[in-house]
Amino acid sequence: MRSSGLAALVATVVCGLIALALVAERDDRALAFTTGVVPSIPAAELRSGETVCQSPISVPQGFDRVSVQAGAPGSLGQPLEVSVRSAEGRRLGRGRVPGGYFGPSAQATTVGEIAAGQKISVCVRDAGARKVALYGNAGSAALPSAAVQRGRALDTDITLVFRNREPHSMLSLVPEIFERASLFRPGWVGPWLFWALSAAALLGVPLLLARALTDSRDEP
Amino acid sequence: MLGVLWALLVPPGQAPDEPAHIGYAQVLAEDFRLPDEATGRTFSREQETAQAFANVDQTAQVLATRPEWSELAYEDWRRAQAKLPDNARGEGGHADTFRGANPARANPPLYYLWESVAYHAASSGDFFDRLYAMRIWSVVLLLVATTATWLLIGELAGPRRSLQLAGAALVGMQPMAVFVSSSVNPDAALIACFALAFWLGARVLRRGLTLRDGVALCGVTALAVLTKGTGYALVPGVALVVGLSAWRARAGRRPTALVAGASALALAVPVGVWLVLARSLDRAAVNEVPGTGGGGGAAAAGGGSPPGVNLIDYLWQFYLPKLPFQGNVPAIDRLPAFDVWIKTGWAAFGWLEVRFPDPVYGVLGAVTVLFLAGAVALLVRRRRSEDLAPVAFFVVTALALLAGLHWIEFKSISTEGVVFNQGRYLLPLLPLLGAAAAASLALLPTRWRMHATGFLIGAAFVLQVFSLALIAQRFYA
Repeated sequence: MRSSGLAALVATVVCGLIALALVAERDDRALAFTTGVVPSIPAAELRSGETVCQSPISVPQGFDRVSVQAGAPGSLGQPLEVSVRSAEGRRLGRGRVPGGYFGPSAQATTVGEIAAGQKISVCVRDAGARKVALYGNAGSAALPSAAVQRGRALDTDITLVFRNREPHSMLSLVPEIFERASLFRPGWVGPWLFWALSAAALLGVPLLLARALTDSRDEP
Repeated sequence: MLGVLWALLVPPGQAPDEPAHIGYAQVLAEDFRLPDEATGRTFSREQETAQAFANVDQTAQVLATRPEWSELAYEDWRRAQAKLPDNARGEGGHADTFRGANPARANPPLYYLWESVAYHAASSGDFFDRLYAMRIWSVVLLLVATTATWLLIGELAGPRRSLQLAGAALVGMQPMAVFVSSSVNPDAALIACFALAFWLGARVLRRGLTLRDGVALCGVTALAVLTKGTGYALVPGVALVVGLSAWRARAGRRPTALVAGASALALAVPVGVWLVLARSLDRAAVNEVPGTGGGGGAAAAGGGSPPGVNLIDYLWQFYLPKLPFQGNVPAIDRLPAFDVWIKTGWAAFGWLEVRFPDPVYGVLGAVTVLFLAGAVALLVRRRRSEDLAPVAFFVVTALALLAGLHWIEFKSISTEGVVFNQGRYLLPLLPLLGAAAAASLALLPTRWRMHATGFLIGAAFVLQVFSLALIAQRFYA
């Protein structure tokens, strides 16, 4: 009798974990990181030829695509030139967003491979003939990064999303997920702890539940 | 084990109202005072700095943004934190022009006192050391709720360990309960208090009113009241338990009146002390009900609903489709009973924006209804008179909680046009769902019962793992 309950428990857990692994394997993710700014207001308005730069931006993960939230009030979106520079001002990559999009909407361009572990600035230039707005939020949204236009800091931050052309499955991202989840935590927390806790949860908890079920002998 | 994983995986501040609760706990632990509305900082500079660098505010509720995960940004935070003055920890708890006063300020202080134990234990560390110590300490309250549910089912069904295990496992692994209990949130304490009260109430009704059980039951009720305003929902049911038990024992030898009186004092004294203290500090003793002009539970004169909105329309449209002749209730979506009680009661993480695909909630809703129907079917089949009193206690408590929540939301819609309810506010009733699950299993033939128990426990675990994966996907991928 008790073994039938145990069999049901084991079957449910095994099927559930297989289902999770399949879902995680098929869930492709291309996000490298973001500036973490909600695109809720026009953060910078660029006239033809004007440039706005957001810096410094820490790069925790390599990327090759940059996405901005752009729109041109009353007209189709203008072409944009996006350039990525090092902290010293050396150009690391650049790309171009063609005009004609409806906005505000996310517009992405390939900028070339940018390596992790450095601080960069991202500059966006209006390469069209009309005005274009880049969306973002208040200046405190991405501390200590700031948006600079015409040589002065704006009171806003620009929404920037950094991606990779080659997506990775959720399953393959588990090591990165544990790395990311270890920051802004107590000093004793590291990726190793997430590995240990995950193993304990995936193996230890079902074993404990099985033990509890086996020991749960009803009084007659 | 699961609770600790939840506590560490969820990014700082990515649980409902967590920054406000952290701020309250910090002010109490650092300065031994309660948040107020005086002009000053809402949160300490230490908390503000940590939240800004971890990108707490921008990530809250917005699926497109992520918490900060750059090592360089983390180092920036460490440098910024090192520059803060010594008094940067205990200066919050007031009202600045941007954020206003701490929205959690009207909560009674009990849960935050509990959290201050962990805060002080980790006081030599940085902000995140103390925050995560408080989270992990909060998980202990879920263990209390799980154990109390096990005891409750034992009290109701007798020593039937498999049923006790199934019901307790449901409580201990219900995703929203684990999520809330592993963040800094007074709801964790409320769930534990309600679970203990359900067990003690059932025990008193089954075994008779003793001084120990009566004082414990009323004391736990006092703890609930001193945790959050919705703790008052226990009072009518507990009064019923004590009154009924005293009435039953009136012909016996025990000094019933004395026992009942002492029990009542265990509730009245702590609550009375808090009410007097709150009044002397010129602050609300319970959470403010919108439109009442204060922290009381009753509507102020003239605080009625605008034309076209009435309580019946609101209640009907919360649970049932709107009828053609009914007035429109602003801010009420299609069938909030499902969207609020089921969706955000079972699994809505972060600031409620992290959810499973819709069909999952259909299954969870069906399971909920199945368990409740199973409990009713068992009661009908048993037809035992001794079941009536515990059921009356549970029903009165559940109705009191629902009535309070609906009243608050009705006033909120009437005066501010915004909804109030969230599924987590019903989590104090989760032990009853655990008991209902056990009752449903008890209906099954013996040879199927163990299969079903094993399946239920396994499914609860699988739901836990999927929920953790959902958190990882939302915040770190």
